[in-house]
Amino acid sequence: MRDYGLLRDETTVLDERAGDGHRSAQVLALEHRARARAQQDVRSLLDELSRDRGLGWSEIARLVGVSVQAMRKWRRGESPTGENRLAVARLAALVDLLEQVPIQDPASWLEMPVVDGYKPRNLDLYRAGHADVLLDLAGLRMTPEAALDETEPTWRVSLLREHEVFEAEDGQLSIRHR
Amino acid sequence: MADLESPQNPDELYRYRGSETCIARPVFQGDVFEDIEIPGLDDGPGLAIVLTHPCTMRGKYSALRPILTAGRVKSYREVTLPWYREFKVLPLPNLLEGSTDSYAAFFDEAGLVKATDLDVRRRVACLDDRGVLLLQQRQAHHFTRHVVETESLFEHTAGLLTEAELFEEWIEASVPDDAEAWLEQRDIRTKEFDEFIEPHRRNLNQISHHASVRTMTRKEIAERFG
Repeated sequence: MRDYGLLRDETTVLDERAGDGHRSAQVLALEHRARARAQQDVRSLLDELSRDRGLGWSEIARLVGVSVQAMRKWRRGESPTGENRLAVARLAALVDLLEQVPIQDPASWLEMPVVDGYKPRNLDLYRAGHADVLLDLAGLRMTPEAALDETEPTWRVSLLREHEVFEAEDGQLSIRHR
Repeated sequence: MADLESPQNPDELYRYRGSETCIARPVFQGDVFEDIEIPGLDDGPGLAIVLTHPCTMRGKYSALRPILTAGRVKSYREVTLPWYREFKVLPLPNLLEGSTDSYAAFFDEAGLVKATDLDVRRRVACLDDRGVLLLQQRQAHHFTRHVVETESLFEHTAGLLTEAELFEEWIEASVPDDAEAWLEQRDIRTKEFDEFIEPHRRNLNQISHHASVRTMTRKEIAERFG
């Protein structure tokens, strides 16, 4: 029995090390792909994210950290700063990696709540700088609950949604207390 | 109970401001117009914000209803983030192009205006999705003293936000970037878009279907208008 105990301890340590290593590798892969994607014209990147992937302009703007107005200028030929170009490329790279995991429809998946009944959506993890957690979650290497435990330990209380949306008798959506 | 929320930074509130305000954007809750008289206020023409909820703003063929609710927008003291109280207003920092003055939309100075008075040539700003949700949250709180978290407001309004965005893209692709041309073609283009989107409106009630509606609409725009 003692041998099994030791083996279990060792595999736990090994699992943690492998997990940390894998996460670092995923973040590195994201950065490498982002650098490669940044070679592309920003208009083609934005076209791809919107037209081919189906992301909304407001979502793209929030994920990149700029306004819709700024992106509209880039689509019309104005050049973004190097930092903003890389931010657009990083988002395109993230969508590539999600598709490889594989998430069939990355845009829809990003818009979904992490855990039903709670506030954050998957894209909020990326916005808050947790791309590593997001990629682990997409790859089913952690549960949605574990993702929130790691990023917002008080989530069960602080991020609870008190209301729900439902279809009312006239067929329109309404809001009520849970 | 949920708390009233704030933006992380003032720029998060706005989709467009100043001369860059896109004329193709359909009139939507949170749009700010200049030179608008609000009957009942007797304060002359001034800045006004559209308060009507987007689900009641349009009727048959997506045409704007003839009468909408608008609230007065006035100069206001600078409000630091995160906003504390400010129950009667939506602060609108850095609203006007070239000005660092602070403004706010007043919920207790509102009235009915004609939709025809809301000319896109007089629109000075459009709120972005986050700004619209913060407006809805504060407006609902003002009238009911009940706070609904913006995530629930988003789930409720997401279909309309997405439809407005796709409408904007449709118009931008089909009409020259010119207010006169837009006004001339407004009715026919609005009806045309409405006919296309109508079969997909039910899908817009579910956020998980938005990406597919967007790709389908953008493909249609590319095919129709090049």
